[in-house]
Amino acid sequence: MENIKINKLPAPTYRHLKMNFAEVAEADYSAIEPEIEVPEGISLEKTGGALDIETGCGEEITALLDKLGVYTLSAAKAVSEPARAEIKLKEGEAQAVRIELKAAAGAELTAVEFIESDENSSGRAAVQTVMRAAEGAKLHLIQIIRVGSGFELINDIGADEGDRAYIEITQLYLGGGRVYGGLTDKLGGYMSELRNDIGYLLKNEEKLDINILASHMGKKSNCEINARGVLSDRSSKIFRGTIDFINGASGSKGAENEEVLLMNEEVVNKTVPLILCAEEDVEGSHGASIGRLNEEFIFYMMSRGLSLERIYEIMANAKIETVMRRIDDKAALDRIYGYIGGGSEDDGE
Amino acid sequence: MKEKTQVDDINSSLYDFRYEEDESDMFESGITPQIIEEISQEKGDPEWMKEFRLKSLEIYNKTPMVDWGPSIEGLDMSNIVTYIRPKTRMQTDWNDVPDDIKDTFERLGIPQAERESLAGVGAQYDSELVYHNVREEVAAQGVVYTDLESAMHDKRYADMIKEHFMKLVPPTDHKFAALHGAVWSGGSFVYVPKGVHLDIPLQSYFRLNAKGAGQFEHTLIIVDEGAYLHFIEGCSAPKYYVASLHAGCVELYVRKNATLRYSTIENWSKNMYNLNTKRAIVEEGAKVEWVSGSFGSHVSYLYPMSILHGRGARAEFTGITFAGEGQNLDTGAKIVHAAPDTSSYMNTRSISKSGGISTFRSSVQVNKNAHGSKSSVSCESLMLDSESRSDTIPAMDIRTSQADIGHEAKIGRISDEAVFYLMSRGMTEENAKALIVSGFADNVSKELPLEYAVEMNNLIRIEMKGSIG
Amino acid sequence: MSDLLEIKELHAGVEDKELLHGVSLKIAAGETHVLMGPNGAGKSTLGYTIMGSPEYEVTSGSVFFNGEDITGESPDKRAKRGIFLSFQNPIEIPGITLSNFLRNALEQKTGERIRLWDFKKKLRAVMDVLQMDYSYADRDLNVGFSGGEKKKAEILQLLMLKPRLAILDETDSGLDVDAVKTVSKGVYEFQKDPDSSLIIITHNTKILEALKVDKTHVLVSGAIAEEGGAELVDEINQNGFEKYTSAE
Repeated sequence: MENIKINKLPAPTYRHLKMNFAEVAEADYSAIEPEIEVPEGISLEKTGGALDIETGCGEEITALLDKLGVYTLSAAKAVSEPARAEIKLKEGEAQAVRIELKAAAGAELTAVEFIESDENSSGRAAVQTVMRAAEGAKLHLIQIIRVGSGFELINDIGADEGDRAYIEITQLYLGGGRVYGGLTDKLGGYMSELRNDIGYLLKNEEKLDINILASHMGKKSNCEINARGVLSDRSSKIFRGTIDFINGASGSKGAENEEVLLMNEEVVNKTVPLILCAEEDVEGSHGASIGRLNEEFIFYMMSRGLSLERIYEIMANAKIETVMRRIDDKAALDRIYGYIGGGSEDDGE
Repeated sequence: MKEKTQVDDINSSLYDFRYEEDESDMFESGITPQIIEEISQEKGDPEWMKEFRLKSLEIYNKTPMVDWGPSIEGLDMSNIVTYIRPKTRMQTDWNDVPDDIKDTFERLGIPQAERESLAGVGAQYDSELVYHNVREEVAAQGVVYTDLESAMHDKRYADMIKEHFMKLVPPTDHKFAALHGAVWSGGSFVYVPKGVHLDIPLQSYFRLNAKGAGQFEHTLIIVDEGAYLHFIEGCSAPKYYVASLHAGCVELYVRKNATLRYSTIENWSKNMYNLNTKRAIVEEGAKVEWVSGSFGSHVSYLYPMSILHGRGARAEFTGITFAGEGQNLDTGAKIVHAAPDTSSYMNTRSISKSGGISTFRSSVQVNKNAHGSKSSVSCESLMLDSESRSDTIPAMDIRTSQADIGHEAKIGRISDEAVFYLMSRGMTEENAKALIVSGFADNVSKELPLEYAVEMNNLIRIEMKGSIG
Repeated sequence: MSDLLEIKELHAGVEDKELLHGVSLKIAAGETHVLMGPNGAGKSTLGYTIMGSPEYEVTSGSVFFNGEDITGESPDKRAKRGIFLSFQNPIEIPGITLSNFLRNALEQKTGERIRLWDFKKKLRAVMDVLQMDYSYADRDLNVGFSGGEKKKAEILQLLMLKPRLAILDETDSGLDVDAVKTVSKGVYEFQKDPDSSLIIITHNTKILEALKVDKTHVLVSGAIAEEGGAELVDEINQNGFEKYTSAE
């Protein structure tokens, strides 16, 4: 089979950097069944066919998934209890799950996706989540991703927002051989808003490849993207984050921030944060800080009796903890603590 | 109001005057091995250079066009005249330069600048240097400043040229580097001996006067151990309605503990495709400082690159790009940290106006061995209207944990409050905005010698003129 | 009994610039010393050097703590021996709450796990002394804290970690009257333990009012210019440093 290109950088740059896209082998994906639990107020139905939306991983993967069924979760009103989808990936086959999250005007829906496999298993999988928030609706997607060291996972998201809609996506990448994350959000509505928080801990030979596009189409739309993580051993990561201000999106604001802690000499960290702008009346910003902890910072912590090793340990967990603050679902938090250790004793008073 | 008068006094066609070329002086357009051989013969190349040119042409023919960045479809290589036979041999006295050429440079203020503030001057008109001179006391220190062709034929420097020419930027680097290798002509050779500190700058001025032509000058500078040099490069051309091409190449060797400051104010006419390649290799404890102002050209691809090759090597890049109507300027810088304890600092501003497109593009690479390296990148963009476009495309590739890498980018507009404030003090809206834009560009103007800073601010005023609907 | 801290002929500085030119000091257990001096005299440098900051290089001389030479030790080892430095500008640590940070530091110090409930009880008791809202415990350390809140958080750490020697570097600077009172109350609390030693670096005598002072050192241009008892504080308060700086 041939390779397909995914996670394409919206405006390509120097070829020799090899950051313009990722390549994966084409596959004949077959649908697997997730366990979905919905609270009262949220309907679940199985639909199918093309979802007609742009995603972060792009049209070449979408073309391979379009024929598969879709689990559509819809909220007609505000529901605070989250829906939960357990996506258990199995050894081997090219498996896929498609989920659509819909919130009607003024409705609220929170969904947690656990994308997991056995620790040492290998295989291929694609999960595609489509998010549609109608006028004034709120959608919050929480993803906890932890697949085997031999797994290739494509975690693709496409989103669209109506006027005053709010989409929040909180993602924790806690393990996986080669993981590709994509997100495209058309901030189509007036005053629509996106908040995306990403936390990752990479170890061994793990590779994480992320492509995010916040496309500001609506006036006064807003986005905030925060990516925080730690690279250990021989792991590598590429983060492509694009804020695109379309002509006419006046009054919009976009901010992107990345913090990467590098723990080992052998890691590879690539970052391409784009701001594309065709509108005068906007504010866009990007900040990145990559590398080791600074000396002053280390001195302060050491002066309180913490060893260098412990300081790095604490700061690595801090990256994840910061992202976890966006989550108030106990089941999700417990699952994360189960993977990264700690937590339970700190619960409650 | 005095301020206003000053703006009116500036002739916006300052760089637009031109003199007719004699058709017979122009080589045929397009590039074929025959043309390369003719150029080589005309210039009396040594054998190795002739072979180098032909080899480069082969590479040019095999190398694909870039597939990122602004479109260069409007550039039809078969219409570009690659070589224009000079009307004069290179002179060392302005009085010997033919009148029309001399007049051109007089109007650009070059001889005056030489008298007042430069250690040496070179002037290139189309394909060849027409003037080169260096102050006696500077020459006495062993500083060499001449055109590359003369240096190549001078047995004192011939080996040095052969050893360094297109070694930093090989013809295989990209298509226009290959083209440059095939048709290069003119440019400067500078050698600053060990420990020599030149307090006042050298300047080369490049003028492309002919219509539909290309300029392919090669600048080779070697600053030996512990030496200091400030080199200034100026470029301009009159406006024609057919595409012109500038594919120059700059190679800078900054030896141990030396410092080289390389300043450019580029104001090519707005039919120019500026596909220039600049690169520096910086050895132990040495430093390169780039100061770059991009105002002209129709399309620009310009990313001076610094290879930090020795321990503790440093690079600084300070840039401003102003893209107005009909311009697509893709500019920035590249840094490679290839040794421990190296540091880089990039500070750029870009301005887009009246449909202009400005793109900041950069790469910072930190190699595995570059322990203790630091890099800080800061880029700010200003959009003056919504017909324009401003993109920021920085890339970072970090391969050691023993590094501190920081990056900041911001995009925005002129604050209404600031304009209101200045207008409330009696300034017109146009002047208020021009003043704010000049302030925005002060990262670069601060780094330039005074007279160039003034020229740059004038360019900004010219660009800002009539910006109020 | 030997001194708790002994500094012998200490020379230290940054890169090529020497900032301390042979400073000697002795502090016995239970003593409180005040270190005064004009701006740029090297007071903070001395404090940072005692803590082992990598920013300053010791070129000669030595620092003994409890009879052992600690001149080349890392800051965390010094902290475990019982030295504490309050920072003028405490570092912001995003992602770690004040409470989590302190618990980590305490556990590292004692090498034992501390039960959450015991820890919280103790923390709240100390926060009461400093009139700090409990919510600060769950905020990221120093992130978004005002100047006064940062200083209080430093004193909170002092009282929780219970070092043998605390160096307070301008802990009172930039604070309003009420905040100085609170901070000074915290320091008083620390001083109550008869074995606790203190070096207070200050311009301001307000913070010293409620505290017993055993000795005063005046540091000028990187060297001790005068030493005396508590009365020297009052004298400097009246006459300033002029007599040390102008009479050259």
